[in-house]
Amino acid sequence: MNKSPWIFLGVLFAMSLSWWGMVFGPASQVNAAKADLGDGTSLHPRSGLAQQGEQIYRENGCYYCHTRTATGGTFGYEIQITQFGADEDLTREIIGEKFAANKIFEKAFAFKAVAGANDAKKAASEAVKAEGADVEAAEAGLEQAAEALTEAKTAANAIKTEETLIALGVSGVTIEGDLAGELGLPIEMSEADKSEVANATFAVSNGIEQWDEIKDTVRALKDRAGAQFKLLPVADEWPDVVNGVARRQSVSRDFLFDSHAMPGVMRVGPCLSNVGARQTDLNALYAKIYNSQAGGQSSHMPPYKYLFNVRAAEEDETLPADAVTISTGDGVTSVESGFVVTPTTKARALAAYLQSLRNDKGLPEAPLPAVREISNPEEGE
Amino acid sequence: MSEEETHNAPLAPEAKPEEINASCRGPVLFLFFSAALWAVQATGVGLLGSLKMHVPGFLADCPFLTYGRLQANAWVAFLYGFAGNAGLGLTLWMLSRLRGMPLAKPGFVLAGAFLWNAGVTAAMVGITMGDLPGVAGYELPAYASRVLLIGQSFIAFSAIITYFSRRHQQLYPSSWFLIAGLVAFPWIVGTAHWLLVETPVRGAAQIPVAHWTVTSLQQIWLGCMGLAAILYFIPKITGRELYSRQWAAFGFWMLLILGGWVNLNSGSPLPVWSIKLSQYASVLFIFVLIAIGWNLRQTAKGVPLLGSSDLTLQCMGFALGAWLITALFTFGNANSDWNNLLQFTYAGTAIRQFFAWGFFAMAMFGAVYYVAPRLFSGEVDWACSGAYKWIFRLTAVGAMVILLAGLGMSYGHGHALQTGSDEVLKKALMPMRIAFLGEILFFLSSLIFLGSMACLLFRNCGGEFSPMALIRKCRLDKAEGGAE
Amino acid sequence: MEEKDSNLNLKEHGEPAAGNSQMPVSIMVVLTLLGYIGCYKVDELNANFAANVHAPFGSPAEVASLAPSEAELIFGKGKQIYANCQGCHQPNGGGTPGQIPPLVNSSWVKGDPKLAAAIVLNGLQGAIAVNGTPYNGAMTAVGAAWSDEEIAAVLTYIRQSWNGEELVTAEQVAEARTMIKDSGHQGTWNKVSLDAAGFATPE
Repeated sequence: MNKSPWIFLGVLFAMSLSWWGMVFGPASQVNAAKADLGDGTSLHPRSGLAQQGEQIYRENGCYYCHTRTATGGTFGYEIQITQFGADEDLTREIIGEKFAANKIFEKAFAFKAVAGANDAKKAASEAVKAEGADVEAAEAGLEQAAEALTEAKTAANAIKTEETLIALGVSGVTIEGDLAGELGLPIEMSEADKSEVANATFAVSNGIEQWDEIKDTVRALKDRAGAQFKLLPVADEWPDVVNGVARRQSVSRDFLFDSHAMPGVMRVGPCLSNVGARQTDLNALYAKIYNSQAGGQSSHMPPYKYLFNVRAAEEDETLPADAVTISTGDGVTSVESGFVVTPTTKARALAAYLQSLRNDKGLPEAPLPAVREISNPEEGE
Repeated sequence: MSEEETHNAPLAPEAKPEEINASCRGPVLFLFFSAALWAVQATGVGLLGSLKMHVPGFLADCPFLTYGRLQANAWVAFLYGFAGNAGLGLTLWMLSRLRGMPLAKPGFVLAGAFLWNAGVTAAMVGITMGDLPGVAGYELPAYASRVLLIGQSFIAFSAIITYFSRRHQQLYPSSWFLIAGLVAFPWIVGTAHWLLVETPVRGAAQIPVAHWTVTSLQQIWLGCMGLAAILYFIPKITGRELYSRQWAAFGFWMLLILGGWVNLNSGSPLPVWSIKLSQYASVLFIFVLIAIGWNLRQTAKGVPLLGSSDLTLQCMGFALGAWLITALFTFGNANSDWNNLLQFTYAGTAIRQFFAWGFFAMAMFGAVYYVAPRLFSGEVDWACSGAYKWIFRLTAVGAMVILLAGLGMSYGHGHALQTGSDEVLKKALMPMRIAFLGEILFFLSSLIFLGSMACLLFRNCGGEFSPMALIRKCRLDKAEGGAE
Repeated sequence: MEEKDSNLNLKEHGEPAAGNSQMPVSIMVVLTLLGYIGCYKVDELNANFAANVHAPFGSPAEVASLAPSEAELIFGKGKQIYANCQGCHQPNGGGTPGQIPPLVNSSWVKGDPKLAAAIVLNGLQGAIAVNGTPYNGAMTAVGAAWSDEEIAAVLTYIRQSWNGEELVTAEQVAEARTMIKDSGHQGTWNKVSLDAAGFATPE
């Protein structure tokens, strides 16, 4: 520690550790992030007015009072099965007796049994008609298959539940025509019915379990039972989601194409991570930017009147279409009484930028959590 | 000469303190006076900005005075204007003294100082015109950072030459911190300039880079310069030796390793690993706290710092306490729950202001009080030195007000954000309203600082070169000219 | 003469020296322990430095389970590509009665996917019957420039949305391509040439 060159080198080395971990590491990782979301859509940069609006946002230092970062919180998981696998006993073992006792579960597997028996009967009747077949054996097989089908239908009809369409949906089989009628299903399905079947889900967790508690179930369902399912995070104490500020947490891909990130440091004003979805009324947005206290609102945001063209209104002049207005007790009036206020290009750009700030679309790494009461499926129907 | 011979060769004679002081006089006083001007600028602009927060319509029609631009300007003026000038001036003086050699290449220092001030001015003008880089806490447009880097390199050049002008038996710990400060600044600002402003990386990648820049500037650049001052002045004024070299080394290396990692908000839109590593570093930061705190506590055992009659010691004592409190806050930030509550409130800004003024500015004020009069040879006439104790008092009270109000009341804001209460705005403004009082005190303190620096300079700056003498000379010339 | 301020005490001690008190070893022990525990915790919580794991999620396995399944992605991609088809076949797959055959419950779509793949690749013209209704139009070779994956995706979308069938894989599309090449047929199909090439058309 007595030689300055050693200190110099030591300083370089010591600081390079944090440089590596906080600058090079994250930056190179993010630079490799893809915009492609895998389902044919991708994230794309802003263009046009919205892109220019980013500059207006930066020029006026909006990021000193507003954040663009919604945060995470605590949540639970709901496993929603969209299609059961083939093995009823195995699935019952995996999801537990509590959920397997539900009538929908039983009905779904009963429908599977019926569909299977129906296919077997069809195959048997093909075998009878096939050339060179042992007709007697084939007819015996057909008789057996018919009996099995009748048994399966009886068993299915013995399970009483209102949610037959959901049971059909999660069973993953198709039952049409007369067979459907015999099982209490609509012979001709309406659009609404079809939709209910297509979107049917069966919840097998209480919406409060953490990942560590359900990960074994998830793996077993996928690998062993062959079930198809969705994991739905259900917000518990997740302030930004529960309070409606945003629909999910902000992730690094939300800033992928920004030329300046500006995540913000303080929330004196509301978080803008989802303002594009929350504030769709362009006029209200302009009114807020022009004078946040217009119409008696309480706000400490400074007025940005210089982003607007303001001229004195003529007597009895009707406001032009792009004039900024507010609704008061006297109806719709100009935001500045006695004046006509229209946005300049800068204001339009800023508004376009703000409207582009949305996080109401789920990403693979950040699905939209639900905020609702979970009905307890263990009570069954 | 062989290594053995070099090692056994007698050390070059140490220059006398008076000689060193004299060599430093011009450049260091220039830097100190610039710092004083920038301090007033920073606090004035900051006050104006804060006023607009509480009275939103005030001067709202002028785009140049938008709240965001004023906040950026205030921080730029403080960080680069005041802290840069004062810190660099002190660095040069301390390095010369610790080396026992007069300051080499003062011309380079003056050139560097001019460039530095030009850079900060350019930054402020640019920001006023709207050219904000978008990185809160850094805020240097490209042209400004280029000039600052060149200016700093000139000053660092002088420091290096001074340093190598004499072999020294042992480096005092403050020297390590000062070298670190000189090395860290170009690296930090160079990285930010290159990756955030000149050829910006993708938006998402800018977030960690920006965080590293801001944290390093605070913890490493300001931290090193301030701690160097504290580690130097407390032993020097009390006449004791620093308790432990080992503790100082431990603290130094831990600070450098951890300084750029810490304090990442847990809600940042970064992958989980970044946040966990930052929290880990924040936890380990307790060791820096222990190292610095214990070392200085043992050094000053039995000697009251805040209660001392020596003003510099009082300033250093307060600065040390402030540094320890912010280090504790850094340590606490590792806790996700606490961080989640406070991350988007005024707490972060309050702690930053407390660090800036309670620690760094206070250390600089104390150091300048000690160094500035000693730069003049012979008798010093500093009639305003009595007012200087008000700088200490006002800064100390202002810092405590900001810390207690800013931190304490931010809990209310944090809770309101979590519960989605309608009172969010009211709770957000409460700490800022009280912190405004602290900012007024900082402004007054800066005015007094400027006043006493001006007083010191104008009364002592070499008879025939003082402004009064020059004015007299002009009048005489005029009278003679007129008479003829 | 101005009065000089003699209150300033400018006497000073020499430059400070650093003492040699030893740092207790216990501090290094605590640091090592804390460092180890911290590394362990970070290892537990850092999701293997995965780029796509963001708080509040904690592990790559978790995020992988949350992400849409392969089947959902293909369906979504198919839906995107179907935008090229909906001009004629309508967004609901209903077609235009008398002019454009529907894709809903269509015997041409169900069953062996290689038939549909062949039609997408080369187009179809001439008289055909779909679900008993005759049609005599012309379909361009929309998928001539599409990849196997893209054709598989759009066929999956059509089959799953309106025909209750399963996935179409890229391999099946590739097989169709091979069959076309082997048959030596060039240009738009009609019913006869399709049958001749080995793609069994429904009646």
